[in-house]
Amino acid sequence: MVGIASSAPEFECEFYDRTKDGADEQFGKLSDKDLKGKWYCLFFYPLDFTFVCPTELVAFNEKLEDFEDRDCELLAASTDSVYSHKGWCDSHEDLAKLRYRLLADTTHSLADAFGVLKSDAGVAYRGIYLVDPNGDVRWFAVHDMSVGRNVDEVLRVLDALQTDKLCPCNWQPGEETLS
Amino acid sequence: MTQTQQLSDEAARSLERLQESFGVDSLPESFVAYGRSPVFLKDLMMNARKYVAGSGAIDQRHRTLIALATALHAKSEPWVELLTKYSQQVSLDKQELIDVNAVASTNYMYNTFFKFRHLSGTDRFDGMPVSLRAHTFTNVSLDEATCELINIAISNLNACEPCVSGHVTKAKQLGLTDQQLLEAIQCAATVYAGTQFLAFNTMLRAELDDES
Repeated sequence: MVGIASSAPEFECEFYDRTKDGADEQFGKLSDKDLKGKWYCLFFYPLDFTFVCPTELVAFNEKLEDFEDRDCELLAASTDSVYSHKGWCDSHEDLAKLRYRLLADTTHSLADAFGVLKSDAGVAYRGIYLVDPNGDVRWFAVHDMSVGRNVDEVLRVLDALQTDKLCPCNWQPGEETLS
Repeated sequence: MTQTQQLSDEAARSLERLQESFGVDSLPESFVAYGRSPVFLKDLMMNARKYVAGSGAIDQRHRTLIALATALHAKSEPWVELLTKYSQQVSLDKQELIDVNAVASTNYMYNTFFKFRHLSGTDRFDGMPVSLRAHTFTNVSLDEATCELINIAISNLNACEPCVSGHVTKAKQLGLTDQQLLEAIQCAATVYAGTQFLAFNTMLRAELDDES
């Protein structure tokens, strides 16, 4: 189970990248090691082709620049396959414009490692995590199935984590922060 | 212009984001100087997006007035240019711009007086009348709360302690929240830092241009 200030779990997971749709690079593998040295925001949603989810995915998509401003990689994950992700994006006008990667946690190991696997249903609860460049979980929230998340709130928290801490000026990935 | 050629991708992106947040067709030409320090430019852009452009605890119009007062205080032509351009989008009229000038300037009068009384380290002037006419505060098109936000921002920049504390008390009586007052200062702080970078850059320019 993930906790505050604990290391985010190691993982390797397939992804679908809508921005590369149709090209070989549309599918690939991402591991926690690829994300070392930068902030990332990972959020889980229960299932492709359902109602609350697209609203949420689209809301995050619209604020992608704000995550980029904060040098924060945005990722979403469900237990669906990359082909399901692609099919969903193909079928939905707004999701067709999705600009961040969707992780396909078909083995359920990602959701399990982050502690949001609803094992009787094989889907993930709506967990969201902010992980810092050291790979430490700095904030998380878990909603049950029905409540969507507020993107502005996530950005507010990210700002607070990035600015209201005494960060050494020459901080490099791997070094301790002054918290 | 050599500065344009030196713009890193990151700096170019930050300038683009800055321009986009103010919704103007172009930024003042001298803003490319920020590209010399992408890290400063990024801070400026992020803070401007958060506290100067758009709205938060303080709405867009009031933020613009505070920002403009700060740019005038700093005598920053590029920032005044940007903010007056932006003021049209937030529907500020010419009279309001004139009134920001008048209110900001009147603060200088009172700041000078009360700062002296405070710094003099004595109470011997306390009972003596201020005797400086300041009908501007009450006879402009800006409402009282708006004036107080400007008063707080300018009095703070002028480091007049009794003025800042007096205006904070008054602002609270008028119903302004702590969050709004803090945001007025965050807005002024952002603009002031932005103006200083440009001014300092001008002073360093001869030196820096030789290097490139």
